[in-house]
Amino acid sequence: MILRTGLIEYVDYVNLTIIWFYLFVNFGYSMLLLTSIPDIVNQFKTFRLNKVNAFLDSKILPTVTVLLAAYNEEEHVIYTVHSLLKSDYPNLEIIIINDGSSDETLPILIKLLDLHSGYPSVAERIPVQGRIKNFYFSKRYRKVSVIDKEHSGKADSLNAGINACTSPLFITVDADTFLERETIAILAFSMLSRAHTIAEGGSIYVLNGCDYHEGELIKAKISSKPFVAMQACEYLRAFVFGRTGWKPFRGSLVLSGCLTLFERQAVIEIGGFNKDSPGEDMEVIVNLHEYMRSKKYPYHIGYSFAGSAWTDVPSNMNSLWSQRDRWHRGLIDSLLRHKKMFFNPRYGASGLISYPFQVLIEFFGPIIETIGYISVLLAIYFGIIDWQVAILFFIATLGFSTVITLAVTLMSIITFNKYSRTRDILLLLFLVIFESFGYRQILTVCRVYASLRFFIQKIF
Amino acid sequence: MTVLDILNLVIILEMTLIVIIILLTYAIKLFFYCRDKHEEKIFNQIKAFFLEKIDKKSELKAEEFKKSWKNQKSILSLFKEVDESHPESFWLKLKEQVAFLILLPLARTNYRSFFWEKRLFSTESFGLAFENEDEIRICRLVQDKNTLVHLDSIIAAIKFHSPITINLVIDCIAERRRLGQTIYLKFFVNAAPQIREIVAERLQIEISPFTRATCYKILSFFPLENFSCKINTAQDIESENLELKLSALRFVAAHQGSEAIPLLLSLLQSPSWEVRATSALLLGRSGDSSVIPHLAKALRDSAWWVRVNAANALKNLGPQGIAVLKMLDPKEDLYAYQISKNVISKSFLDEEST
Repeated sequence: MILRTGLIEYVDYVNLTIIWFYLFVNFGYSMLLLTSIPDIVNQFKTFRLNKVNAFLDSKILPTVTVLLAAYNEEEHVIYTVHSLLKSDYPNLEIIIINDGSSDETLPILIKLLDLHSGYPSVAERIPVQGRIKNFYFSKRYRKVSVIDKEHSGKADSLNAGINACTSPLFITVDADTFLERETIAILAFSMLSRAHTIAEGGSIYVLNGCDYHEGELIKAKISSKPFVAMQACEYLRAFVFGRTGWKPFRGSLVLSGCLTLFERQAVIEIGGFNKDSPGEDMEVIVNLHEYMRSKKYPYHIGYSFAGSAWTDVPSNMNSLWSQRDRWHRGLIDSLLRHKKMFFNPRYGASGLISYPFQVLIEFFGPIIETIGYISVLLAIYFGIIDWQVAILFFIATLGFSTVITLAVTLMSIITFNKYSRTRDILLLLFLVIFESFGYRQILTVCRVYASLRFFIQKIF
Repeated sequence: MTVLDILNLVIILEMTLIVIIILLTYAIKLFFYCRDKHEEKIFNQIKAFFLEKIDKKSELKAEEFKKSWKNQKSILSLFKEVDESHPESFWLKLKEQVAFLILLPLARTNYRSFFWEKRLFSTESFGLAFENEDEIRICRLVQDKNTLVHLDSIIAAIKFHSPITINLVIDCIAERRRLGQTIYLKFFVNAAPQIREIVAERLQIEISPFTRATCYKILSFFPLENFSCKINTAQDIESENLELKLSALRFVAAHQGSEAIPLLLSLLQSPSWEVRATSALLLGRSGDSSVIPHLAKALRDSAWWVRVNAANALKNLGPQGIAVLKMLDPKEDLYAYQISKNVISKSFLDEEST
């Protein structure tokens, strides 16, 4: 009897916490949605006018170096290089960093690019762990060079690339990512035209299922594989308002490592990418925020929804799990490294809004959600609440998130409309509504597992 | 009201919201579709009108142009299309007439519009046609918060090239960081030569080092032959402001040719690595082989950028410079050797490719 009373109290308490938590989350997301709408509409109008390239057709503009870290990417790296060579941006250099691949990545590059061994011209601005084995220049494409080094991870490879980079701007691109022709020009334009922008991110779409040829997207399609299709829907949401909405607060704390343009000097000043962090892309952005805020330098972290790339995403449960596990550990690692920003007015909006938002929603969110699922199941088991009420409660709490997700997805459809097929749009709408039943829970459990793993590894 | 009733109500509300959002989206899409169709219709009508005028080679009268055709966006995009298909002089004359009779009055009406697109089309129109009274309007557009409007109005301001508009453009560029300035500087390529006098006059009275640096950057786009204004760069080259010092140095190297070599050689010993690196780079453009020993010494500089620029400068000086690069011994200075090899192998590949 005592146990039952205690359990009832516990369930009431948990339910109330979850209701408040969901209200808070949905309020946060609604605010992000509201702040992102004007920017997305403006970007869309600007994009439609097709004027950006007219401002960027000059050799006077700064060179942008693409840093492409490749580890066992024999399947994709060539297509990625092809897509980069087709870029509209007039001053482009490409540095491919072969991170000690054990497959055919390097031989393929040597053959396709007609690589010739050369001598490195590398300034050791950032200490690099992996020893550089060889340095190659392409005879076929004079702007392309390759650094062959021992395997030491993506962050360390990017640092080796920064050391070899002689341009004031560089862009990180994943080896399994295709860039659209105008993407670099859009990102460079956004960065150069807005004063004090030190990093500019672009949007990412899912490549799996699309038709492409030699690094060029022929037709955007949603994959018929449920896991991939769910990710397509998820990426669409995350990159529409998850990044744009943070612009009024000097930018998001997270930009995708697949596609971000950086000012080289700013990254050198923070010591480059952190090779000890599982999520080097988030870490570098949070680090930039902390550094610039602490030095009281004027800065802005930008995001251009119009500049887009298409990336290969995990197509099975195992690889999706390990990817999300790494991302979440990266998030926790970054949050802990910069914990002094938490509600610290010295760090302005980043410390008072963006950072706490990441802690409360991205870190605690999955934990609270899992506790909620467990307590509701327990309550049903002990007959404390009726199963009908439990299901309605579940639908009601997730319903509002669905409304926001739907609004975001439709906003993307109205504006940039990457998926033109009616079948894809209907599939997206279906997925938006039904991703809350199964897919969301798998990712929630994965993130809780990642949190536990992170802290267990930290303690022991 | 029970918990069940409240939950039911919330779910009904959420479902209604979902339906409303979907309907609203497609209503907006339909609106855009209809608007695009209407614009396409207007565009085709104006195009037919222009082509008829070109065929008959007849002058334009303002009253011939229908009120519904007075759409800046359609006219401007039509200009771009007809420019490509009809490059003949009659079209250029007709275009000028349209710009003055149709676009200019529309630009004057819309330059203060709440909608940035209308302001943008006004700036584009001012880029094609303006009169003295439009100076204040262009100045206002230069200060617009929308990036596209701002950049397009800079083009219009440079075309207008009055002392007020050019000085405003200088101020706009000066407040940007070095990288951001590149986007503006390209607008001065092939700009009216009278601008150099305005910039030189500004340089004579300006105190801010960043604005002075901007003036030098702009002046580097203009030839200085038959230029009456005297520019005294000596003080700026001695400046402690690096941006000003480097801009003045580049200006001197570009305009004084071989006369600037002694100055560049002396600055190769500067305590600032940026100055040494820039001097090395500029010496490479001089084409004077007497600087080779100095550049060979700079190959062993402690700063990486100086070494890189010295190696590239030697490569640019031709066979004599490349011979110096080839002679380097790795045991003597590994860094200098590596840089030299890097530059040589790159230039070898370049030659092979061409």
